[in-house]
Amino acid sequence: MKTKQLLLNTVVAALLAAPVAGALAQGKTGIVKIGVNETLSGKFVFVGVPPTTAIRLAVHEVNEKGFKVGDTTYKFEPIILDNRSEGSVMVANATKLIEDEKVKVIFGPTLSLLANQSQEITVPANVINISAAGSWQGLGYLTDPKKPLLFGTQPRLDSLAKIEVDAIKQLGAKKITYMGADDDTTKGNMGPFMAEAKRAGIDVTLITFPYNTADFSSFVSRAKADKLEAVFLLHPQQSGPNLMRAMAEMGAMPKGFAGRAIAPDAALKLAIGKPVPFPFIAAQATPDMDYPPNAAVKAFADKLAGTGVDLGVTKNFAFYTYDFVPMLAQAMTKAGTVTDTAKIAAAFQTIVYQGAAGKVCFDKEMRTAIYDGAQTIVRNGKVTAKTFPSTCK
Amino acid sequence: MSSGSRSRLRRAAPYGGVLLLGLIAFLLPQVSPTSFVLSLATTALIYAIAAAGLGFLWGQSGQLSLAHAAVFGIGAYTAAVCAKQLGLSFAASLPISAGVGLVAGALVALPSLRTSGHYFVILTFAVSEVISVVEMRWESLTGGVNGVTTLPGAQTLFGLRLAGRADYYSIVVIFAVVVFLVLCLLMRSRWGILLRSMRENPDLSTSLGINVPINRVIVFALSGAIAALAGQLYLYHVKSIAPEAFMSNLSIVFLLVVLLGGKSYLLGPAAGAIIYVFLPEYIGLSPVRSQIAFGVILVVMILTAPDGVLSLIGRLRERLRGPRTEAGA
Amino acid sequence: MGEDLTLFLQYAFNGIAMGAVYAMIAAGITLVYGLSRIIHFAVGELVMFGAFVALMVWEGTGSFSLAIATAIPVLAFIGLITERVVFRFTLREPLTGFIVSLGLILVFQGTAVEIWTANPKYSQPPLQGAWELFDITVRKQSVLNLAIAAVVLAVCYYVLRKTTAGKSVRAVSDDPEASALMGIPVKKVIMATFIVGSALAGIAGCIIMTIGFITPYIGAVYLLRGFAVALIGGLGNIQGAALAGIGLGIAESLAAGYVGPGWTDAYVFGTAVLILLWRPTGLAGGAEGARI
Repeated sequence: MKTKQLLLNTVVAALLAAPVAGALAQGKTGIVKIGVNETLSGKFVFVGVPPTTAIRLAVHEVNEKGFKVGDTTYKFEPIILDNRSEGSVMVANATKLIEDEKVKVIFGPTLSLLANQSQEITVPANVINISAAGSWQGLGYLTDPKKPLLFGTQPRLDSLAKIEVDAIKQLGAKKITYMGADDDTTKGNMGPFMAEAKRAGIDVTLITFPYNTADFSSFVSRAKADKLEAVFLLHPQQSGPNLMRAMAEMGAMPKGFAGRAIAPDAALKLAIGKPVPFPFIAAQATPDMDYPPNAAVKAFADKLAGTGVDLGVTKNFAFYTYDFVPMLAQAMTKAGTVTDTAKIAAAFQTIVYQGAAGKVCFDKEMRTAIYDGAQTIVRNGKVTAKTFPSTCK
Repeated sequence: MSSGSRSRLRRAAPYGGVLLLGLIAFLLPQVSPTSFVLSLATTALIYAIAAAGLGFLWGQSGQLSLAHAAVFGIGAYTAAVCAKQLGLSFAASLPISAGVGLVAGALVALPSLRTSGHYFVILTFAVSEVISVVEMRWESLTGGVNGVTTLPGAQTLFGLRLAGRADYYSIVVIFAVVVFLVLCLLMRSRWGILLRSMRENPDLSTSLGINVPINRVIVFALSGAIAALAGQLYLYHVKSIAPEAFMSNLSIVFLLVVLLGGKSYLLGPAAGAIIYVFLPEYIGLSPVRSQIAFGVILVVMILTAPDGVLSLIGRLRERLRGPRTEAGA
Repeated sequence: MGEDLTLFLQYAFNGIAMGAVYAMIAAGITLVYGLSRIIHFAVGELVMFGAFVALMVWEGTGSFSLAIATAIPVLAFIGLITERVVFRFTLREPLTGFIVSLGLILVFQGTAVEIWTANPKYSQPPLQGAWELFDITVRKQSVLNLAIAAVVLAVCYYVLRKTTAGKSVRAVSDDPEASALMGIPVKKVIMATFIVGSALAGIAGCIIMTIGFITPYIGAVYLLRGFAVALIGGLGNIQGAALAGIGLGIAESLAAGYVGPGWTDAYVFGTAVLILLWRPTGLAGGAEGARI
């Protein structure tokens, strides 16, 4: 029995060694697993699908050449898990990625609620966790020296607020309403906006509504009665067309509509079937794929379209992951390791990368990304785009 | 329940069964399962504990509550407040969250003294919606939509580390065994018989001098305490909770778990929880198709085995024994 | 003073339109419950299906009446299928029917994602623009929606009260056993209520399509609202559902105008709890609660 097993072991070992020996001849190769823990089904599927699709695409591109760490050429192997928009499944997935698959980097969840839970698992496990969750900024995780492995991929909310208030200034409105669903996202985002608006001398009334509001008549009636001149819609993005339809039909807030990351299609056709009769400005932390400002964004948009996945109104969420995959590869090369997360994180923070979103780097005070922002403006049915270039040097 | 010559053995059998299964569950970490399986098993056991409380309520008293997840959530939030604002340890906050769950369970029971049947079920549904809005809005206590985070740190219980994956699983197994044993004991006690007679005929019970309202409130309180205990275990499992998790959705999950396993079986909730938690992970289709398949499987299971999957074992046993003329045990 | 009153009336009108939708969903829930004692939780998903079907027809043909005319039979058919394949087996144990409806939610949602993806879809309302009446802005589509709901509910009411078919429905609701003895085909009547209930959800879906975006996940919202309305109106009671639906719509609208939405849900369900406690059969009186 024993000898038989020994023999077997030797054979297995020999078989295993053969490819390695082959690889040695052409230079060593290796695999780096990266985890993806996203909402791919359930209520928040629209949040998780664009970033996941972008990761697939980016990994494919990085793997075409691979990346060198020392004398080994590595490729990424993405392990993509669906957390079904549920907390306990998210926890099981994170556990699987960290303990079973031994990944050192996890992307997602993008959804704030789950990202808050995720970092409780990734931080003690010394695993790099990359997410666009806005709540990580609001809760101070990205400035917390005890959580050095957390990285935000959504630009700073205060720099975003500048692009947004600039939109209001372009509309020429002095009395506006800031509208958003009645939840933590609105609460976390309104602070920087209010501060910026105050500096610009704009008077802001907050109006919140239930997340799934279909009929905006009463909110618009209220804004009309208060003689508000324009609206800024924070989120959810899918409410944009309905809100604009109510504005158009009820003749409210004539100076126009501004909103975060709302596809210009909303103003061109979705709201009333033709361009809305007031100016529209979408302000966002990422470039806009529907009206690409440059060749890099255009190329990225085409590649995403080529995947055949319908990304819908949240397609710009793809910027939250796409450039960070090659940046991660560069960071590993620079750190000279694929396992030492502290070194990789330190290197990650110093990289400046020319990607689809422009010049991408990390903020010095807060571990969150800086890249090109944009405004897409619709006036009288004509679309113009304005870029707010990245401040990376 | 016939009491034949082997009645003593038969009476001990359920306890033995619980202990045996508990032991098997306890030994799971020894076969070095993946952490993924351990994490899911922990979730399944927590659901089993919560559902056991609901199953007891339903099976023994015939009352059904859709506010069970709300009480589960109250337990989790109480534990979070104990840890965060009072600085209490896991063990010290356990009696507090169970106590709050006890009171919450009793409060949910109060309307059952006025309404009954479907109206009561629906009423508990409305109550749970109210509670989840309160959890979402009472931000100073619950952290609002962002929720609260509780970390076990270096705490230990029964010599096991709360922060350890396998250790925490073992802790949950111990709680599950204790809860199932206690419920088994209660079901077989005189009180259990009294409850079932109340369920079958409340008017007769009243005329026999049984205080139906008080007993009803006590069962609810008990199931509330169990739910809250499970809530605390859940908090320390997922570390961070938000009101979204405790909407009536989860009550429905608990109900499903009880019904899948079989509401008249002590271990029904355990079987149901294992199916509910593990099945979707192993369907192996794309995420959305898995969801569809899971839904179809649930419907088919409930239609073909309305008394739960455990009833299938009994049916199988009968078939193996061959046709029998007399009505068997 | 005058301005305040105008604004109040404006909010009230805005609410009525949405309330009519709630009333229709609630009417479906109430009918199904009244006869089968099944709490049909997948009704929200039926509303969603109705909305998608209507959207496809409306975008494809440009005829809103054709959209409604298609959504009604399609949803009625889905109602028939669910009753034949699933719910008829659970009539003796209505609670099982309730649980099974939860499984159906997963199936319906997933199927809708497979067919229409999870991304929100929009359509243009058939009627655009608004009228100004005494300083109140009245959106044309709201008026149309209100009219549709009123006609549908009136027809339901008429059929239930004045026709033989309706009388047998009410008889089954009051006492299934006696009805069976009197020769009423109880099972067929129950099947019919599933068909009608689903069709009502489908019409509600058509209206929702004209108001806002639709996704495979919108069902839960309308289920919760419809359910609260059915409860407050008294389960099994169509007039109650109509009144409570309008009431909820106005209440939500006033909350939106004056206080903000934060606690609205708590008030709505709190009211439902109080009413259930005070008058267990609902404000207007309805079917008796059955034993579980």
